[in-house]
Amino acid sequence: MQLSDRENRWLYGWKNLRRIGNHDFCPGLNRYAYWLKQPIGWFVSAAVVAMLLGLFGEAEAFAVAAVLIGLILLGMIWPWVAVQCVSAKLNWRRRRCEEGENLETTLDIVNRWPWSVWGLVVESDDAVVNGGEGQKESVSLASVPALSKSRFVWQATPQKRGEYPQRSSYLASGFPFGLWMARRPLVVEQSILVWPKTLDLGDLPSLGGSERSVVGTYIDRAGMDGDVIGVRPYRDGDSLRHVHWAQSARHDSLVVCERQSIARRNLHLEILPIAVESIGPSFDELREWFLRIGGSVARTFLSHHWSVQFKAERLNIQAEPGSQGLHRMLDELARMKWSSDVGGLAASATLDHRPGKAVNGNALRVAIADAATYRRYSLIDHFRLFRWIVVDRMHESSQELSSAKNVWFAIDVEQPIWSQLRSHWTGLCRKSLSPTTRTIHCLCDAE
Amino acid sequence: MSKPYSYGTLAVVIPAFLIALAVRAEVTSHPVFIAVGCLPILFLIALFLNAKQSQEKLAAWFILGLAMVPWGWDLIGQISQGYLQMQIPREPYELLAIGSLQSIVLGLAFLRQTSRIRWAAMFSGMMLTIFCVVMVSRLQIAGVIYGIAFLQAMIIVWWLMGDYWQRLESRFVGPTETVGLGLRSGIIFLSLVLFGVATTIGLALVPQAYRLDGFLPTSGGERWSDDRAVSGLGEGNALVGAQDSADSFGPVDTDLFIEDKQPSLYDIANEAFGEAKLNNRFNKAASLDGAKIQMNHRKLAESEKSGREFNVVREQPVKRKKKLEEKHTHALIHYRGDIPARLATATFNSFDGERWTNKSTDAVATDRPVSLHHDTSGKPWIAVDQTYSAASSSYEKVAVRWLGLDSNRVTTPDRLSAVHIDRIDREDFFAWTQDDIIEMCDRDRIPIFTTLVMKCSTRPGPAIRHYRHPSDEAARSNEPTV
Repeated sequence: MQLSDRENRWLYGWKNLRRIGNHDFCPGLNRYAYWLKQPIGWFVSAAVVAMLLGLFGEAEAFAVAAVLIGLILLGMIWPWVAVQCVSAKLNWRRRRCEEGENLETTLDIVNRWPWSVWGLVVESDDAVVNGGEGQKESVSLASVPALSKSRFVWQATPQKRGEYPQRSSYLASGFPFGLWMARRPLVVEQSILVWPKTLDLGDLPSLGGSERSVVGTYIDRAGMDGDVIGVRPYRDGDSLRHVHWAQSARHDSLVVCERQSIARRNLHLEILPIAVESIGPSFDELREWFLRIGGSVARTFLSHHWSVQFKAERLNIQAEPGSQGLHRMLDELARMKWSSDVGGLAASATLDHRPGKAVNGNALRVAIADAATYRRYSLIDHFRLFRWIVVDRMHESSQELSSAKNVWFAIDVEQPIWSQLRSHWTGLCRKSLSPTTRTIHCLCDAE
Repeated sequence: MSKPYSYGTLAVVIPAFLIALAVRAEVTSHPVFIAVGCLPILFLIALFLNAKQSQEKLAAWFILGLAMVPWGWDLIGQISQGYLQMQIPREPYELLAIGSLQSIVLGLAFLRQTSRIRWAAMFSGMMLTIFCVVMVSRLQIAGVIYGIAFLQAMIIVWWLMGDYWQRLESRFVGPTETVGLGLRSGIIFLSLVLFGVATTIGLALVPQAYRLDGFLPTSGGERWSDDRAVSGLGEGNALVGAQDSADSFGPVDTDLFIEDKQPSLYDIANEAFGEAKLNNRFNKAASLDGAKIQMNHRKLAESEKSGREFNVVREQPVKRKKKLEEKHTHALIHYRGDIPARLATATFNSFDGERWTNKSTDAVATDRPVSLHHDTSGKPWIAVDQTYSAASSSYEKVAVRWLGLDSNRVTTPDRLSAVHIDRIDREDFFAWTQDDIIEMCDRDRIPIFTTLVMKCSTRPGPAIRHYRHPSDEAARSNEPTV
């Protein structure tokens, strides 16, 4: 439905009005005012109003103010007393986990009061101290028995990558009214590293049309693949399959064949900064998805013995194949902090990619970006050889992205992202195969 | 998943709603009107609950609409009064604000009960009760209101406990226990004791209320008080005026006449106890018949001060009547009108070089007649200006109320056209003096608490007369020049 100019003007005015109404004009003063949003703030305001009414209106309002002050005092003193003799220790069984994985969490509490303590809340990072599936808030405890040491164990589901705890952790109580939370520091024995969620995408797309493109070329360095380049005495651990029996018989000792090894290919994976705030998911959420998709692609290439250079903002990792390299890369990705200076990063990224400033000349280059950044950067000469993965809100004007020659695939953030990534990747792998192989694959699928 | 109709929230909100309803009905004395006024609120709630669109999007408009209901009723009343000449009862502004809050409180209870909405409903209900409790101290229903408010306080305590537990129970780990009834009852009992002590301390140790001059425009302000105001610094005459009984008399127009030994403008024959006893101090008086009169055989307190010192509710007999103290003031008159104002009690027309004097100030000038007019509502106006027209609107109204000024001369502003005293419909009560001042004839002084409403012409005219010094030759003729 098309809106008239007048309606558009009204809509624009209304949006501006809402923007002004929701704008934070004095963010520096928020810390002085935000306590009013808490229940205690509401009751203090009511007590102040009652006192003003008593001072300048009717003296009976002082009785109301006194009742409110009494309620506030009871609501503060009770929880403060309750947490004074309670101490707790938070612990995780593992050092690393992935977003969305179950994480066993343990809380040991000592209550030295001769009475039970009710309604305790663990105030820590919600991302790792939550109650598991579908529960995003930190856990709470109904009661801790009198004069006891108790252990609470539950499965948390980390929601966001990072190194935790990122904030001070407390054991808090607001019982009985929840007006104000009294806190005691919580001891956290060791930190937990939450990796971004990644998928092993399986196959690699065929690059350059040769089967060597997939498995890499052989070089005459001692290895386990390719042609035989020589023989050597047997060493513990050598496979019997590699034993050269004729030579062994001749020398009366085990001799094995030495074969070629595969030359590692390099992947240069780059996440480009978002220059314009996207519509749809929040800006930070979109960047996190860039990281998860990038991590998945890098992980898949690593599993195929590729070396991966991962670059995102100031992060620049060179990961070697093998579990050690993968863990190192995921650790770095987990610890990475996005810059808040988005515009500045976009400008510096443009400077980094001036023509002639090439990185890792023979590497396969893949960039992950939103649609606007793709349109802006793909024109730069440096990005001519890049393959693009575009992640954005896809509307009609973005349809041409899918058919662009240098775009591997485009992911719509408003649809399930993991299933899109998997299906696009599978499609990419099949598309890159020879027509005959593709036909065989199709026949197999049909069966 | 949040749900509408949280019974806990309704339990907090309904007492507040009932308290506000009772206060509005008591003050305006029109419970049917209030009940009818609540119908649109229920209609809006029903409409909102049946709305097929997203309730979250409609919530703001729903609350705004509910808040506007009392003001809409007042507007209808105003229009009916102005154009249709229908007397529809209207509420003072503070009660309209209470009505708005009352509607909002009920509306919030029917919104989808997220944590924030629940708290907003509870807090609004609590504030509504606080405002009402503060207002009802002089009303007959005060005891009932206090009782309901105390009950609501207990419900709020219970609600707070329940809300806190509800926030936690969805994320409990380990053994899930519930707070036993014993512990909950103990907390309620502790709160009861605490509230009792706090109320006693609050009432015993606090100072009396202070004035806040000109702060509240409706009832608390000296400058902007409204006629419909209930109480405060500038009490509104429309509601404070006694209807059925009076315990004192003061500077307030009422429909009630109280017998007293002081000189009055009115004369009512009363044969309830034999022959009428004539007052030896005779003054000219207007006879009244069929007027409301309240028999009184005890001394009435005098209240000469305006504002909140006039500490009386004259509507229904209150249960605990206390003997009122007389409150005196040094003020000579009360004046209502634009300030600064110049009120004349004498003019001088002779200047001997040192002092101004006036010749023949006591003689009444008979050459300037006064005449009786009636305005559209039938009120008598004594016109002192021959060009006065009752139908014209080019007059400014001012009012003067007599307190300590011992004179029969009316303190008049400039360009006076007509004078009105309630039920005085005889022109021989007023006359011009020779020095151009209106006086009340045949009496020593104007009775205390008499209110004169005066109409002054807004047309420009000679405001100040200029005289020349005697040394000037032109001044020797003693003729003033304008």
